Amino acid sequence: MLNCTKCNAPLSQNAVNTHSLVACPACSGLLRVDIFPAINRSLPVGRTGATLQVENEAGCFYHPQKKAIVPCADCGRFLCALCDIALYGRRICPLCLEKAKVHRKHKNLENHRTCFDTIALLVATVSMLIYWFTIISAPLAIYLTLRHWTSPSSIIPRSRIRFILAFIVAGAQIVGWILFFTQLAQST
Amino acid sequence: MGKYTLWQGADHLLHIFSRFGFEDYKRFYLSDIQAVIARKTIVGKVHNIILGGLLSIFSLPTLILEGSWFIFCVFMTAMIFGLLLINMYLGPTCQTTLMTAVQTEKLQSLHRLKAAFRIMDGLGLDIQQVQGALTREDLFEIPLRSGGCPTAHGPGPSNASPPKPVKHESGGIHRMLFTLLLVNGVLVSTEFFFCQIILTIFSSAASLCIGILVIIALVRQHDTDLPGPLRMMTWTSLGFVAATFVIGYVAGMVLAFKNPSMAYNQWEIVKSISNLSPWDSHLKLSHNILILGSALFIGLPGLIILQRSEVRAKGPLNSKSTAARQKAISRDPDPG
Repeated sequence: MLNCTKCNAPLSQNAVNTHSLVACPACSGLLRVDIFPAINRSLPVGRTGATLQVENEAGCFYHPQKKAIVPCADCGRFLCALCDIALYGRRICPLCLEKAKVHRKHKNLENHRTCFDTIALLVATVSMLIYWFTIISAPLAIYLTLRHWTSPSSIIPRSRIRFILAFIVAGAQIVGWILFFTQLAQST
Repeated sequence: MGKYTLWQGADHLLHIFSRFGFEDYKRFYLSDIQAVIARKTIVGKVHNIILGGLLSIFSLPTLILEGSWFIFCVFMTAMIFGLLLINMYLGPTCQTTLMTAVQTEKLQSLHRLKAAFRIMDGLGLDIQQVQGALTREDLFEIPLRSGGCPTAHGPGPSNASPPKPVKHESGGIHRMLFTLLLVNGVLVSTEFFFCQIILTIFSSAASLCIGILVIIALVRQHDTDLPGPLRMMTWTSLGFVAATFVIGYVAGMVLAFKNPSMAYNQWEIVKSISNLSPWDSHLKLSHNILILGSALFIGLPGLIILQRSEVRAKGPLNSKSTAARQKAISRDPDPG
C-alpha cells in the first residue's frame, strides 16, 4: 500500500512516477514517488511439504512425517519442501544456512561485522582527550593492530590505513611515555 | 549515534549503519524493490533559521565590543556564516523511504533532496533493467479502495497505521500573534522619535505576550490544516522571540554592570532603558531594528497568508471537499 510517509494517507495514481515533487492531498507534504513492477507482484506462497503416504518413502530429517524431495547440498540430509532453501542455485537445509551465515561462507548473508581497524584507531585517538589514559590505550591499540591485521574489515573493500595510523599514533604515545618516565627517573 | 551509508552492488543495495567500529548491513535486492519515496522536510530550513539566529547573536556584539571579544565574535560569525552557506548550498532536506513487500526502510543517508533525486534517477534505470519498465497497464492494475482512492497492490507493511486525522484550525491565535508583532513594531518605531517610559512598558508587555502566544500557536498548529508557509512564519516567530529575549537580557546585564547602584532595582533599569535613545546605543538600535524587522517580515506576511488561506477556504474549491484534496500540484525542488 502506497501511503504518504508523513500522514499515512493513501496516494493517488497521479502522484507516482512523476520525477518531481507532488503534494500529498492530506498533509500537503511534498513527495516524489517512484514505483516499480514489483509492486504488482504477489509474494509466492510457501510450500509446507507433502505428508508421507508410503512407509518405505524417504522422510525429511527435520520433519520425519513429511516426504523428502531433495538432499541438502552441504550436509546431504533429506529435506521436505518446507525445509528446502534455495541459495545461489544450491538447495540447503536451515542448519547449513545458519552455519554459512556464522562462518561467513556467503558474503551476502553477513549482516554484521566488527571493524577492528576503526576500533584500533578510535582507541588510539580518542584516549588522547584524557592523556594519562594513553598509558593503557596505546598498548591496547598496538595489540588490536597486530592481532587483527589479517581479520576481515568492513564489507566495503578498503585499505589498512586505519591500522597504520593507529599504530603510528599509539607508537608515538608509547615513545612519549618512555621519554617521560626516563626523565622522571633521571630527575629523581 | 552512528553513520548511515548506501552502496549499490551488482544486484542489490547495501544499507550500512556503522558506529564505533561495528557495522550492520541490510540488503535490498533490486528485483524486490517496490517503491522509493522521497518526502521533503523542513529540517534544512530549521538549520538555516538556527544558524541565522546564531549569526545575528554573534554579529551584533561586534558593533559594540572591542579587543579580544571582538575578534572572537568575528571568528564565530565567520564560522557560522560558512556553515550557513554550506547548508544552503546542499539544498533542501528530505526523508527517503524504500519499500519492499515485507518492509519499509528509511534510507537515512539520503537526506538531501538533490542527492536523493540523483540517486533515484540512477536507481530507477537499474531497477528497470532487472524488473522491466512499469507500463500504464501496470499502473491501472493497482486495485482501487472504496471511496475511489487507488492504492498499491501487495501486502506491503502489514502494520501500516491508519491515516492521521487532520484537524481544522481557525488561526485565531496566529492572528493575535502577528497583530501583536505589528503593534510591537509600531511601538518600537516611536522610540526613534521620542522616549517615553509608558512605551517601553507597553513594548515589554507586548514582547512577553508574543512569547506566550508563539508557544500556544506552535502547539495549536500541530497536525492541522494550516498552510505550510504560515507554520513556517510561526516557527520563525519563535526564533525571533528567542533572539529578542537574549538581546534584552544582555542589554539588562550591560546596564546593571555599568550602573551597579540600580542592579537590584528593576524599575530603575526600565527607566534607564526607556531614557536611552536608539541613536545613542548600538545595542538598543539592534534590538529595535530586530523588532521592526519582525513586524515587517513576519507580522505583515503572516497576516496576509492567514487572510489568503481564509479566503481560499471560503471559496468554491472548499478545502473540506474530497475532490479538492485529491488535486495534485507538481513542483520542482526549490532551494532550502
